[in-house]
Amino acid sequence: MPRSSIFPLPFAHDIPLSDAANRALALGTQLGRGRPLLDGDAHAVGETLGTNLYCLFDLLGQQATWIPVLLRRHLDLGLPHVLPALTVREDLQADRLEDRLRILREETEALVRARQVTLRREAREAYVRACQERVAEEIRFLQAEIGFLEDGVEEVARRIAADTRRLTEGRRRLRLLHGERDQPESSGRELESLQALPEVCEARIQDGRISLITAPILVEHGGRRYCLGRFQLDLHFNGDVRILNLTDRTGLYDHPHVHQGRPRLGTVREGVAKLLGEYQFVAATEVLIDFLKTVNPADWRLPVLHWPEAGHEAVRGVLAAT
Amino acid sequence: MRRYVEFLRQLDLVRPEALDTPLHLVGCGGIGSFAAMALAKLGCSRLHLYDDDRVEEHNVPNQLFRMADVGRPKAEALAEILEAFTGTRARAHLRRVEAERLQGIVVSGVDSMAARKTLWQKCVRHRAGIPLFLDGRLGAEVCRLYSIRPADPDDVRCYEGSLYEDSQAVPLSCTAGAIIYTGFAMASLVADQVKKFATGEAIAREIFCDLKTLTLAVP
Repeated sequence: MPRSSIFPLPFAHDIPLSDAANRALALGTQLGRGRPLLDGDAHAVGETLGTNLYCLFDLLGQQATWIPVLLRRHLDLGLPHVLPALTVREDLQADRLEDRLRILREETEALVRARQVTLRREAREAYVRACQERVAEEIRFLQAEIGFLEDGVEEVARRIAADTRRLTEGRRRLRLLHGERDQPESSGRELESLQALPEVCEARIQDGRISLITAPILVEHGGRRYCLGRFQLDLHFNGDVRILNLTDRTGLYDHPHVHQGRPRLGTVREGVAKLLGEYQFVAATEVLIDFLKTVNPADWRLPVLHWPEAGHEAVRGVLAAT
Repeated sequence: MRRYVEFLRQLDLVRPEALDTPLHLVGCGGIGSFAAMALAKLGCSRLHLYDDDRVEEHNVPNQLFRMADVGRPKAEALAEILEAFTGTRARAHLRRVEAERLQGIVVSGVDSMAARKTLWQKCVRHRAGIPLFLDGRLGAEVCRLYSIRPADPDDVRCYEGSLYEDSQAVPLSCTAGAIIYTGFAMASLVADQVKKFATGEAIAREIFCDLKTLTLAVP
């Protein structure tokens, strides 16, 4: 148990004390027998007893830079009180001591002012640093937010572009379908256009599909012409395509690129599906007939060499029948 | 094996065997001559060059030809240049392409909208044998490239919407009609699209390049 009570002392001699040592001993029965020393805030920060000068707060627990200043101020405050006793005891000249103490006080205040200048400079630098950190932090935040918003705007822009395309496509298709419904003669013209294609001998509608019979299809490969025969193209309204060789099937192969009626359409698959989806049967037929006239050794299923060359007796028979 | 060594620096971008599709360059002038060189350098080995025109002196600054080629058929001179530069033996056809069956990628470098329309309607439209049709258009410092799949109705609509009459074209001064670097830019775009087709990458239907403002856009 402390024999003297302790009271909080945030400032001593007008200087802030450190958080860890901002208390002082209270004057009481143990202390207080001498003359108390009061600082500018009227707090008892020390006392003098004879030629002894006491400090009631923890001087060494303060910040290292403040310790000399606190000590000097404490001495500046306390020494005048012990001066009479000292002059008697040490036989010193009072007026010279007064002068000396005044000079020491002036030095103390110069030290305090220098320290305050340093403190203001350090505070200013710390403030600038804090401001810069705050600005940098806000820049980081804004950059992240702008990036996030830009991503969002891009996504929205993509969605708008995609939806606009879908809207345009939907309207275009609606007009197309209205035209089909309102102008049945246009469907009739479509069939006439199909029948007018030079390679088409016959066109008819049956069982949800358009069936076309072609003239004999000739292809060139390696400087030779081959007759692949007549084909039946079945264009289903659901987008399905079947191609059957009516005259010159080779095993299960109707064409170098057609196996059992199923064409390997390759790069035109998507286009044909779209054309059929738009009921563009003439265009789809043009593409498919050109497909039949094209052979590509890179991806054929059966080489075209398995079909007869044009001029062969069997081929002449087919050609004569057209 | 030799081709792999030759194209070592681009093997991870495009394999030589992916570029075996025949390529028909219709027109060997400001677009076709540079595009042919870019494609030959890229590794396209099956090149067909079509042009019925001869090299004139004013072609030398803005087409690939040399002074020594003046007076020679463009297709023939270009085939010779390609072989000297790349070893690629392109086939020269000293004629126009009008109504004939082409199989492979077709690059249009013709110099009028009328020629474009003829090529499109008689040789390209709805042709299954032409997986990709590239139509380049040059005007001074601006170029535009259409990459069209002739069997795709969306592509067909887009392309046919871009065809107009020659009389509707914005007239350019004879002395401000063509300049070398636009041809190079167009050749780069053509080679890039062919490479993308070969590797199965997405192809932009329309690319616009303005070298005056340094703008590259996919409308």
